[in-house]
Amino acid sequence: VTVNCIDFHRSIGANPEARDPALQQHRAACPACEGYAQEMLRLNGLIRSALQVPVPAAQPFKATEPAQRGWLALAASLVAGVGLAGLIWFAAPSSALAKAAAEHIAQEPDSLAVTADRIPDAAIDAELRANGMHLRSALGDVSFYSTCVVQGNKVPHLVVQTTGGPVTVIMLTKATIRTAERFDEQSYHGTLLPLERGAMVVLAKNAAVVDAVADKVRNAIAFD
Amino acid sequence: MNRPVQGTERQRRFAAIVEPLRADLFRFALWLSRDRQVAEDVVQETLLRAWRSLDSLKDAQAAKYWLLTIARREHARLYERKRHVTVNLDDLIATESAMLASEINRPDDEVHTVRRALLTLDDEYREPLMLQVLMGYTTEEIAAHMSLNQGAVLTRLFRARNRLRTALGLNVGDNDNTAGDGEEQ
Repeated sequence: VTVNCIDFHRSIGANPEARDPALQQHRAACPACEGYAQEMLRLNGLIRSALQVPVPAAQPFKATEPAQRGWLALAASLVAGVGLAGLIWFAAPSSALAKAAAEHIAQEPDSLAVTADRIPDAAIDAELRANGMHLRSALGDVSFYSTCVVQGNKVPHLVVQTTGGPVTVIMLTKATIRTAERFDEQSYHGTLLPLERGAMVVLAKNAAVVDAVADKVRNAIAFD
Repeated sequence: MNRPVQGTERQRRFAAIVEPLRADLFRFALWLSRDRQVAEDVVQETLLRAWRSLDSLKDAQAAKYWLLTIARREHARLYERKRHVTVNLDDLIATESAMLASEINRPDDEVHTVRRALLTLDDEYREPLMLQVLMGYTTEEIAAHMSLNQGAVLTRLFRARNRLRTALGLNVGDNDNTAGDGEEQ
């Protein structure tokens, strides 16, 4: 393959470190292209140095939505249709929160499987820490954990297995409720509880097991 | 649907794969966005999504490509969001350019000059250049990453360097048309 000066510039300009024999042959025979190749190699070194900007110390990995910054960011979210859910969240009556939780678990039917599988407390603790919480006492009997999007917010969603069936717990970390409430929603029985930060919704098909799980989870989870 | 966590073994695997790539991930996000805050958001979102889809990564050798692909998608999502609040994009870029350029100690050296020139490149030229020079991607990998054909990638790489040469006062004859083949319109 014969390479002319235009081909050479095109190839070396795209990749100064190309080592194609035909390019090498042309380079050896053409002083102008030899000069171009050297210049491009030097430029490449400068580009590499310029791209290697200082990297800040690694931030801890947090499985949460990046913080919105200021009202302009909130306006952006509104435009994007994301922040709207957040506003609804803050302003929503408790019934809306219960409904949102019931609708969410309807989307994840596998989470409610009766199973002997259990997730170790250590793994739950690690996941909670990514959400600004941790386990202060053993939780046990958790068969499902995920960080889920409910009404536009990423929140911990876990399922606790009991002898009376699975119980879903969703930590509504950005919700605000004043008092505990009971509810019935889409064949689920549940309770909404205010927490130190946000609220917790606990719901199950079997109303008899809701309170015990709510107490257990509320006592086991603390905020950082 | 989200998978339940599998315990600490999964966390160890994640850390072993991701930690060595965090510097690359941050630099990739920073040069895509030219905004340190957006870059940090992109990194966090990328880690979150990588964590949730860790089981889909079958070959640890492909981790960098996998991670940067996620980051590119997250950047597009976050940047679109940020752009809604930017009254004047030129002002934003000027501000962020100054921020980035001010990070080095010797403002008169060549690296500083090249860094400023890189900031003025269009995204379509800066990204393939970054992937090739900083990340060590082949032309084929860049093409797959950016959903381009290889001819288009080569053209963009040539034009990127040519524009840098012009910005640095080095360009004595070549022009972008020298690499007119392969670029999509």
